[in-house]
Amino acid sequence: MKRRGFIKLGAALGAATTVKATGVEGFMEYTNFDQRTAFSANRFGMFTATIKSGEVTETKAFKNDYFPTPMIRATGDAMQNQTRVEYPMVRKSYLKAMGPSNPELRGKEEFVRVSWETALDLAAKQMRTTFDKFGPESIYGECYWWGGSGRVSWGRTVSRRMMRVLGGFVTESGDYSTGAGLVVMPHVLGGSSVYDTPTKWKAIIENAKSVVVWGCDPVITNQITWSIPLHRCYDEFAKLQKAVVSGKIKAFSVDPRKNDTQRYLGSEHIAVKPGTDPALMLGMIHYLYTKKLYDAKFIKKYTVGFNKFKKYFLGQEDGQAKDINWAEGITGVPASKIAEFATTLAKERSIILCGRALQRQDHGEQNHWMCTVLSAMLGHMGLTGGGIEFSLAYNSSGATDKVAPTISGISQSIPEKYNKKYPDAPWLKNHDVVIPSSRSIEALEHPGKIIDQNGKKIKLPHIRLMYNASGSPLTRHQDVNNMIEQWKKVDSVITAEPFWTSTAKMSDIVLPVALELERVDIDQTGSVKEYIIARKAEVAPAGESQSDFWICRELCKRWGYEEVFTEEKTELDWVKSIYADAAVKGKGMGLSMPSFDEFWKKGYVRFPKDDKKTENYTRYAEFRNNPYKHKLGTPSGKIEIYSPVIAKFNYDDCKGYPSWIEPKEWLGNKEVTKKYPLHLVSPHSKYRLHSQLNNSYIRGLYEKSGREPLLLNAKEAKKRALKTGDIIRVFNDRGEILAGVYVTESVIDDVVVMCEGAWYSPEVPGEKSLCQHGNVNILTIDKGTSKLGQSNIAHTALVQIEIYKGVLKPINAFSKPKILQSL
Amino acid sequence: MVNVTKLGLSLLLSTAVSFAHADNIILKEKTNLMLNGKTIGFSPILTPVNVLKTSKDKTSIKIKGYRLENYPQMVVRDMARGELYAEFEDEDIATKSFKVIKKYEDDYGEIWHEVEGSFSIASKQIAKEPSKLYLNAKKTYERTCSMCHHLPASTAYTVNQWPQQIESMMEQAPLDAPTKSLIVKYLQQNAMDAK
Repeated sequence: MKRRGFIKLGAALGAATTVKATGVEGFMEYTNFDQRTAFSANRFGMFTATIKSGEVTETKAFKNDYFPTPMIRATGDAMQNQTRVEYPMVRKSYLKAMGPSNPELRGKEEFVRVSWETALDLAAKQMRTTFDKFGPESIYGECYWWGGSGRVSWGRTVSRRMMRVLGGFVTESGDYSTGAGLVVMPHVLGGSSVYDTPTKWKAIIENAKSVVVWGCDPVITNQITWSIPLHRCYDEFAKLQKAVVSGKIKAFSVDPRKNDTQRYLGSEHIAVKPGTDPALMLGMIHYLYTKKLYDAKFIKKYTVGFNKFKKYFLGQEDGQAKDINWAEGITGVPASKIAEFATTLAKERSIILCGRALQRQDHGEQNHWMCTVLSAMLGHMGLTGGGIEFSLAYNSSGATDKVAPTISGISQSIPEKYNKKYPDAPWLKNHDVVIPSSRSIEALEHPGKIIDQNGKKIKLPHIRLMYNASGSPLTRHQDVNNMIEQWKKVDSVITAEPFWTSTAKMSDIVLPVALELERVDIDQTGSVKEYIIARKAEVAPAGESQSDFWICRELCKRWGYEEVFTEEKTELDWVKSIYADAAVKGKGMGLSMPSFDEFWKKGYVRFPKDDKKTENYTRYAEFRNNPYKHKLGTPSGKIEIYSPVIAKFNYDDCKGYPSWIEPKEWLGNKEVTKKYPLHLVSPHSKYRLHSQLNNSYIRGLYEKSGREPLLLNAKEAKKRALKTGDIIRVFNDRGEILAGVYVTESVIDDVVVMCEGAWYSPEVPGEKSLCQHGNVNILTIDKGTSKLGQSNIAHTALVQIEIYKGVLKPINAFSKPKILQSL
Repeated sequence: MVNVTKLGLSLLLSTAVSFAHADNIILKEKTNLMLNGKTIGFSPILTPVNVLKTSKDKTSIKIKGYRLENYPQMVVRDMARGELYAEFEDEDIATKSFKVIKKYEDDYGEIWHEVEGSFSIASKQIAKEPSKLYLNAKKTYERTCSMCHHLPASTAYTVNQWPQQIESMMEQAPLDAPTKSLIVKYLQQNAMDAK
């Protein structure tokens, strides 16, 4: 086939997979004149939905959203297209056996539509018998963060609550976003740091002279939040841009690509090779020290361990001074630029915004630790608007707060009265089994294996049943092909999902979940708590979908513990009690809130008053002001440049001070790069929340030839005779995917960028095969960052690319699986 | 030259723990400490105290702990475990309010005073049913901190780390100041290095 021909075919195949409507529930009950608007909210923002004849025809951003994301418009499409799971389903063999059977057929075999009663009876029985026989270590129930939202029926919390009632389950400490940082930072700064309330943008813009955005893209990642975004921080981005344009602030972006924030601010681009950031920081540290540009007084007063660390970077331990020439050789950043960069940051007040991508790499702990040391040497920590920040690229944080109560929500805790009523209850006799985030597949592969984490020995559990809700592990986790292989070892996979994700398709029992406009809940705008939001069931749920709360209640009912799960309240009762609790807290703050009925009718309550007390909040200001009264939570109470605690662990991949350790794969590894010469980084997409909305029309805005785009620069493209729109094969020893080429000058040499979250479209479902659509996690490595953190290393991967010469197959990511009406 | 005892933290831990909960008498909320009828500082909720004398309205208590020579305004459990037992605004008053039993130098070269001091508090501040208070603290922690994430065991962090761990979640967690203080103290008293 001629190349032009198959490009056309590729486009056609892409177009052929455009999703179609799943159908409007109860459409016969409406006439064309039944039109109305409804107010709601999701993780993309607050919105008004236009509903005509039961169909959501438009979702328009709330008028008071400070900077609405275009993604809000795709909400209606995603909720009413063919990717919805409409009815309870059980895989054919599993239904025949009424239990575990032929796990190797997952993904290949048909599903059978069943009644809710059959699906729930089967799920409840299998969970109960598995638990009773093998205990909490047999039930994997992490249930992730980003699916759905709300304080009553968020799939993550209610599913975990349900599994507490069951008796316990395997859960993960930390998370995929910040796992390494969460472990190392308490040793260094005494607290998690990565989720701390950050320094306010106002303080930064009015006081800092240099702003360094290091390994993150706040303009993109703040579009969404774990609750409801209001995007107030985008006003601050506009002010920051103005300050940069006027020359008041100098902005830097340290990244292998020119990301959106860099281009928006016009920042100076420090083009660092992926995975080499600690070496760049070390070059700066060495320069600051040898040129006496560092703040020796700050180091003396507020830190411990500098002298031990000094021996390392001066080369007194290994004979290699970590100077700017050494750093240039590793990072690709010219020595003169490193010197200039360090000098600029030292001379006037600066702040480093340290991104989470930095610690999602092999030895990712070193980045956060080293950056803290660099910041301490610059000496601006605790000065208004200066120092270091770890969470300004998350959750729309850093804008001025509103004076408002924080709403509570349903939790995993079981009230004491039920403990007394059921003294022999399974939740009283068992504990959850905790493993590090992202080590679940290693547990499937090596049950019983002992791994290190943070000074402890952890025995990986023998998982026999997985209950998934609020996320898709097959999209989230690294090395998907290995995951599919290990998945076969699990007896039962139960998935509660609104959509036919790859995880749903690889399940035994699939329970259809209602989306935000289809169920009752309450929520609040994240970070800036300006609104509490009523969420009503405005349209009929797709098919027979039910809320996660309802599903979990039904499971608990079958175990005899319905009242324990519900606390004898309906979902609306829970909403009312959460609102009442907020009203009491509000009263304590001098705020008067409307009655529940008024709130429910209007759809929200607003808290307009800015919190002047916190508008210039700067982290570590109190510590700097009085390091005795406001000691850090470290053993010394100071910033630990050297940690005796970590040193005593004697790990070969994490010393007692931050250091440069070669990653498992990187451009400096000449042996591996012979075969796989390109470093693949996989940041967040500007058009989705991980994989959410990939199943909507919005993917047509960015896909190339129906595939997830792969960004590479013109030099690399020319070398391979590639141009924008070509379909290529991206591969390494772990697997292969197709991608659509996007040639851009935004990416540096030897680096390619593909966003995480494209839905998986395997040529052979259930087996290692070519992904036609571009799920990047087929190519990433499933390995812990180090014995300290044991988190994921998604940004550490080498690949090769080539024009795809095979026959393009239809993309099946957005199609329903084969479904039988009966056995 | 300071006449101090250099004491390894591990040894100190084993010697200091004995009196921390000796009488199982704790404060039921943040409590003003009075001396000669004047409020001079406070002790947080769940702070263990020794009762010397009690009447209907006033109770005389003894607080034992450690303080930094460079910052006498705070008395904590011991050199390694910074659970707050008492805090004072005024440095002079703080210094004079305690008797120094012994001086120590820690691993970082800081000088610590082992101290004890007697104060008067309102009798109603003594918890009548400590077990109920601890249960309330435990349930409040479980309920508030398992809305979103895995609930870390109290032993997941050290006495010193817990205050910052809780503080770091304040953007998300619906905790007022007294509830936060209750949770922090409960977690500190059951922390990795608490025993």
